[in-house]
Amino acid sequence: MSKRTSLHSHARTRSGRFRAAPLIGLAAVVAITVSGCGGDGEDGDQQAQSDVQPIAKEELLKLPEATTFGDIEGAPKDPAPTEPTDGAVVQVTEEVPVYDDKGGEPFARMPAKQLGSPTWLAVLDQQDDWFQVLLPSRPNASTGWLHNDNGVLETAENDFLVEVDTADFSMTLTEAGNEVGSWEIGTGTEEHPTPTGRAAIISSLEESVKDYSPLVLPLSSHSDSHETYGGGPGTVGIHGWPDDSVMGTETSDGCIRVPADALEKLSTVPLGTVVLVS
Amino acid sequence: MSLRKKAAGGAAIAAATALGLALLPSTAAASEDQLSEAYAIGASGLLNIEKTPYLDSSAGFQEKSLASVDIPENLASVGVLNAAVDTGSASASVADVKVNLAAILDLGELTQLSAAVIEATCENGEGSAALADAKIAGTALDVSPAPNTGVDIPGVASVMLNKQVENEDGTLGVTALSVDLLNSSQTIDIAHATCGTKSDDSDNGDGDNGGDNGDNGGDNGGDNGDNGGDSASGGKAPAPTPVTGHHPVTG
Repeated sequence: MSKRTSLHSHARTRSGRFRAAPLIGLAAVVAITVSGCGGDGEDGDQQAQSDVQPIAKEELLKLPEATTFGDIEGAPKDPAPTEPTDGAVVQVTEEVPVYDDKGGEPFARMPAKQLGSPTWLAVLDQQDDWFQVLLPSRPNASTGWLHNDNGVLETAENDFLVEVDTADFSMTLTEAGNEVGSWEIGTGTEEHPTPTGRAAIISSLEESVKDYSPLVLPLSSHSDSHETYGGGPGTVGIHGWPDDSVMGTETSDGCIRVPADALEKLSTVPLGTVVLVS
Repeated sequence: MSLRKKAAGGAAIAAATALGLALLPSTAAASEDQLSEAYAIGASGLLNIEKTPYLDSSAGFQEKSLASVDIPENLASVGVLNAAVDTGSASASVADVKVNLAAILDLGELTQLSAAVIEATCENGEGSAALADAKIAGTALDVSPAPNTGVDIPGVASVMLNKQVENEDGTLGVTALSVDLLNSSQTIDIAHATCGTKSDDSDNGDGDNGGDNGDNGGDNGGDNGDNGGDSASGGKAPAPTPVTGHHPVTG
């Protein structure tokens, strides 16, 4: 994407406020760059519309993909890994850059699909057209900022939250704060614990190779002890198990094993739903 | 598929029934679809490199990433290799590619091929290729070459960018960069993706079609009737449409 295109879209996005032609938009952006951060009043309002660092297609291609297979050092850390979000999620409808801050440097690219499902991400923070999202790549608790350029992001509200307490092997699913269900679950062993913190559901797979569960919900988090697992990158998932005797035990390699009725309920919660593991 | 296996199958199928997943129709639908395939690199002739990592869509969605691969050192070096397939789509990419055609024959200056990224994508029967920092014998290549863009080294070799071939079964094969030396006595294919078109009922969860997922039997419409799979901005997030496939999570 050329700089001019990007600035043009910026001016168009804000046309209701700036009523500005692209060239004037360019002038405004330059003024913001020169004056830096921390202004107030009218200038401050414009500064909040942080400029987008343009990136050419060739440069975007060279950035690592933010998928479960990626290991992207230097991504901003989750600012509140034990807190629920306000429920906002975004769908990435085409590949976009991932920035290290609002108006910051691009350091990764976010494809439109994650493990075969459309990319829906949990939003941690939003400022104007900028969205801080939880990344599906390693290391755990990685975040990045996406810019809603030309409507490439679809926003939606998600009322669901999954809370997992590994100490008492419990999972609770809530919708708008109301309990949908609570179950006894199985977790990772002492050697291969289920990672704690704030993760999100990144895909919904009707399992076609393994027969331990009809449905697997891969999460954004990864095992800290399994660098790879079964030829994959050690993605943690929520899934069923043929034998309920594993519930209430530390017997998995990091995954969260749930009974069939829990899996049935979880199969309906949106992609991007936050899973808080403590 | 394995879901039909006896071992643990009873519980799995019971759970599947509880979920309302209509497993058999879904499996049957997958087998009727044209097979997608993807691999990041392959070579045959005087020197052979097995198609790596090779995936086809017989089990639905799958994706694989390799940090490296063993190939004859004097022929090529590559970084991360990726391949992904699903019904009606496929993609493959290779990072940090260096190919030394002098391993096959002495072409002097015309022997070096390099790129930061080479990527092929096939989506619903349409293909594309993307190259970053790609050069052949010092000449820079376009980031988005048109289909079947040839780069000739007269008499000995031809390089095709975004090589697109329609297969007999109606699928399209896209090779981002294909090298042919001495009338095919050596070929090297970098980033290959083959796909067909999606049949109407093989929904892969594009996010805007949650309502017509016939093979999953309306399993997730009931609780979220107000969501309806519609991802219009500002509304409620839709219930997901499960994708038939496999990813090795940490059990």
